[in-house]
Amino acid sequence: MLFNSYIFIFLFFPLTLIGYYGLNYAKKYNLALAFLIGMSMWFYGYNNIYYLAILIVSISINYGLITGMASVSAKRLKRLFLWAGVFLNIGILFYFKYYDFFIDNINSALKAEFPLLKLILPLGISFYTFQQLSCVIDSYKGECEHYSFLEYALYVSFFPQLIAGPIVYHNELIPQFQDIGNRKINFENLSRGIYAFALGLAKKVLIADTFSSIVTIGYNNITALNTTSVILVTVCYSLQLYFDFSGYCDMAYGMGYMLNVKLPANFNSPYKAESFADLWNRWHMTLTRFFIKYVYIPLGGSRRGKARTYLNTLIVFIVSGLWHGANWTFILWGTLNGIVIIIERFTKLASLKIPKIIKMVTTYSLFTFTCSLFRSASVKDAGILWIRLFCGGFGPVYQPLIDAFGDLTESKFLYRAGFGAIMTNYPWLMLTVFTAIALAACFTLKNTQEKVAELTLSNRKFFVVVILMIWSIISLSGISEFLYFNF
Amino acid sequence: MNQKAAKKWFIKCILTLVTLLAFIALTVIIVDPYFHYHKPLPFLSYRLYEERYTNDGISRHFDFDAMITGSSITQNFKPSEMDALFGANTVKESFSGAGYQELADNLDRALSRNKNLKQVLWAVDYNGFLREYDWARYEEYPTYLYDNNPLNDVSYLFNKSILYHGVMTNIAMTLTKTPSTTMDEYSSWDMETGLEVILTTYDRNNVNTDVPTGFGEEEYNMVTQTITLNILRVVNKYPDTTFYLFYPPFSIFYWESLNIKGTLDRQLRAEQVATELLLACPNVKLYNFFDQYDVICNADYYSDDGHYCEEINSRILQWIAQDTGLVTKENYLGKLAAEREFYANYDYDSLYE
Repeated sequence: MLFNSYIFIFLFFPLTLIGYYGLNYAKKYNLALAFLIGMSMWFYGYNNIYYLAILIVSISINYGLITGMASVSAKRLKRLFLWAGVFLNIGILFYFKYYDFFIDNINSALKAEFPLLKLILPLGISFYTFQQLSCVIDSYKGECEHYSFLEYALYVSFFPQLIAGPIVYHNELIPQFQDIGNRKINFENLSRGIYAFALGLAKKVLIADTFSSIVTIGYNNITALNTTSVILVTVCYSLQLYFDFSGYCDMAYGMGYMLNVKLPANFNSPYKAESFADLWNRWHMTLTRFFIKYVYIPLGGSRRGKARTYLNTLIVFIVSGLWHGANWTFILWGTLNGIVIIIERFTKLASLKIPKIIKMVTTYSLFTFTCSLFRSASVKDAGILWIRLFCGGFGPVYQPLIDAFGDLTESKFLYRAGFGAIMTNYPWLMLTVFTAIALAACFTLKNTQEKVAELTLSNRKFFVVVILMIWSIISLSGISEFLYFNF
Repeated sequence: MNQKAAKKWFIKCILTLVTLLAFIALTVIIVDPYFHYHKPLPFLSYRLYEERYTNDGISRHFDFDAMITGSSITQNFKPSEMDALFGANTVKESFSGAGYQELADNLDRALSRNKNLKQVLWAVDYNGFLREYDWARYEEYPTYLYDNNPLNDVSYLFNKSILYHGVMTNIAMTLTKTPSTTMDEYSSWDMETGLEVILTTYDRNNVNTDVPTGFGEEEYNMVTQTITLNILRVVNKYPDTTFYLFYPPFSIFYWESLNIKGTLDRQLRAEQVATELLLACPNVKLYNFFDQYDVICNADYYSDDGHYCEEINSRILQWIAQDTGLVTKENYLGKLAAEREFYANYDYDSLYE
């Protein structure tokens, strides 16, 4: 189930709030936790019941390992449980996410024909696997309390963070479930939560999805793009990615608030970053901290000399690339990010006296460039795109990109509302203005956590919530145009 | 921030949202631009436009006893002409780019809802025999309008495109006293025709020849499945309805492309299989206009290799009313032989002189 769907907004989430607070009001605290788990399972299994079974099995086995580890005192046995947990979680992830990629590469290298599994990746498997992995490792280190099965199962399956993060640590989430003080309706949190949810929903539905339609056309027709169009498409993709993920994080954050659970910040205006290192401390923050804690530091971090620090950094980013997807594009993207950070450290770029705005724009531009690799279907496609970028020549924007924006209901409304002449004479103008405003927002506006923290319940904010919610809800479904004139 | 103020603010937000959403839903239900809930209201003007959103509503709530259906080649039919020729009350439900299954499913729904529907004019796309029976061009489909599940109507009730294109347009038409789109006007088009226009989309030097040319058991089964699972499924289910089926008269350029590809024999053999299956149905009247050479060989009637102008739609209705081109068990082999003879030997170069 998606947050940005009718069933979620009209049925699932209101039902969750009513059921959860209703059971807590009746002092059925464990039943309330079980209810949240049940709702999370419905949320997860809504589109594919088969993957719900994988989640349940994964939770059960991991819980068994964690409690098993706690029940033995011999270090050797604990280590056995640890490695069993690591192999199990990485094994499941490998099987579903990387097996075909691995076999495909072997087939290419050896000209063999080993069969592929062609499995559909279970939603959010990378997130809940990492979350459980952290719990297993922390248990081994003795940093994990004993949790009941209900608490553990809810920690893993809690729907606001289940399919796209943030990657939460057990000691951040479970104590909040255990605190009975959090089980009462808190209107202050409900208000902050609905505000964050409205902002997130609007970012996703009104902005990210608009850019998505343009980006899809661009990346499906890379050979037709000139330099101008490639720049536009890559900028649009950087904005799609930003508003998509930022919107999702805001919605998760808002729903957490409404359930009196504070999720960790996961997105902190990353395009305001002045370096790549800064950017990765702001983008998908909980993934970065996971890699630092469970990969970078165990590898030695920065304690073993400069060369080893650089190598560790590179390893983390290669793993991060691979985590994002089973394709060479992701691996190269991760590698490229790692290399840029190493160069930044090597040249001590952060200490150079360069105006902040130049650092921000440079970081953004370079990141946008690396994102073209992230979005391309293959390394070859990325290569073609870069050739078009440098050799395509400046000229008019590829018309279907402009048409895609013109097809928006909002564009048609503006056309009728008196902007028709401008839109006809300057067909590229609206898309350019929309892109420029979105870009300026990324560079200048406060992020949602800041806005939520300083929220005052004014009429202005009331209108923001109502308008964004209504506009987003009526944008969840559109009219598909069937204009192909053929038979 | 205190709890009391927060409670007031939060409840105000929820109540306002619920009220506004209820207002939007009610507006859509009343105007109902795609006739999902009721027939057109007498005091509103309606723009009939998006076929795949509108047709099911027409089937549900309009009063009619005859229907014209098919792909884009039926868009220029005038139901008023059918009314006059067949003494019927006709609606038109064209689906641009439709496959056989889509048309059959729509017709099945219409017939199951409307027991008065006794005459159906159905264009059988001649170039669709050798496609998978469930071939469909479009993946995105407003399925929420087609089923009887009220829960998924949320996609209809809270949809800015429908609010803009449907509700607002109809209200604007009503306020400006613009009359509703007539069934004759619905989905019709008036494109330029002639050789120059055809050659913008058809190039004899650029016909894809990398296509299968033979006709074996696999092709036989494909045609049989396409006709049986789609057309015969509906025709046999409603024996009291007369189905006027016809092969649309594609232009001479279509036939040229078959010759260039080397698929003329394959196509004619597919036609034979389809024809034999259709002729076995007592409630089917099948028409073939491939001997209307004055039309087919005249580029001025066509906008591309298949689509003809509305004058030909009118002629088709007259031909059918007069049983011109009626295919029977006695004459279908002769018609096939004549098609083979004419289109295999036609001097296609003369088209470009």
